[in-house]
Amino acid sequence: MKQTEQEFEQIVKRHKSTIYTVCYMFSKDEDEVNDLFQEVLINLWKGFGDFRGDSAINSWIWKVALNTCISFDRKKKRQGEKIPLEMAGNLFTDEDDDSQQIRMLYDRINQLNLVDRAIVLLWLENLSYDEIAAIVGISVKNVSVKLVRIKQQLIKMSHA
Amino acid sequence: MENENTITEQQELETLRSQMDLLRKKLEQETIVNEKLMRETMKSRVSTINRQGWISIGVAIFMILWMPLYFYTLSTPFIITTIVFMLVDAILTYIVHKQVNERQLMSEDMRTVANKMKTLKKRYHISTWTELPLVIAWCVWFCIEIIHRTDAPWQLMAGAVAFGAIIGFFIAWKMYRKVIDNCDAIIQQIEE
Repeated sequence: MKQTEQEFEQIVKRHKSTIYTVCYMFSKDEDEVNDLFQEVLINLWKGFGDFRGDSAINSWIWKVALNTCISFDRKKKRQGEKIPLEMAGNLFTDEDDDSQQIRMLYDRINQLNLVDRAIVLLWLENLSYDEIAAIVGISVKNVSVKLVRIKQQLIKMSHA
Repeated sequence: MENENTITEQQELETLRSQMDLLRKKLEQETIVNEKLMRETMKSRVSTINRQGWISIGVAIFMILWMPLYFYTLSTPFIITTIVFMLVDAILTYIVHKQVNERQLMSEDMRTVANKMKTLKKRYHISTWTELPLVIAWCVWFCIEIIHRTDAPWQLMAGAVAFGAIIGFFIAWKMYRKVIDNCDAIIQQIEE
């Protein structure tokens, strides 16, 4: 295996949770998560040669994952072989307490529009407002205004 | 009262964060990525132009090579015009796709992606509608050339050209709509 391929594999393994989280929050079922995850990996691989480390690897992964999930044509069948992910559990169907808590989060986030979903995920991952602004492409002020509105929406959902 | 509300809201947001932590912990315990998935991913070729771009360029190159070989009975100006036309089309298609640099597109911030998709859409739209009258003129010229330079009945030749043109337009229209619809979907999702 070439050095580039090894580096890429290590990066993917290190950031698998981030990639999976984005795919999960933008999907309606396990099958769609699989499709999205594979699509994100392909886009990461395609952009890997051009990624020069100008921005933090974390921000780059977030950008590619979010852009892929937002622009993914869900009506179109994914091209290429479909490979199932190595998952012991299923976040859509497992009934243990943790899974139920995670699903409560999923249910709320899933009601937001796609860009708001992206912003709240970045906020929940403890990224700074500057980083969120750089990933979404809006001003820091705009991020804080949007977050106030999104948080209110999320709180309202819990009272509904 | 207002203080109580603020505390409750704060607690709600903390709950969200703790749920996110649970998700992160759960995912860290999973393997998720296997060797096969990595191999399949790294098999995908890195291209600056998408599949439709390559199809357009391929058709243009095919026409450039095919015209002088099989249509040598047609007039030289027509053959030269066709080759120039196809060459310009291939170059334009390449430029339209290359300037947007689809390989890097997904690594940009979301607003930039939307703006680049708008640019791609605009350029594709302009190039398609500029080429359309030229293609119609070319078809008419081709029809006249065929009728004048072959012994077959002109109705048959005109019919054959018209049939080919209709199929060609249909395919081109489908490709055009696909690119525009894809761009629209991405722009709409981001700007929603």
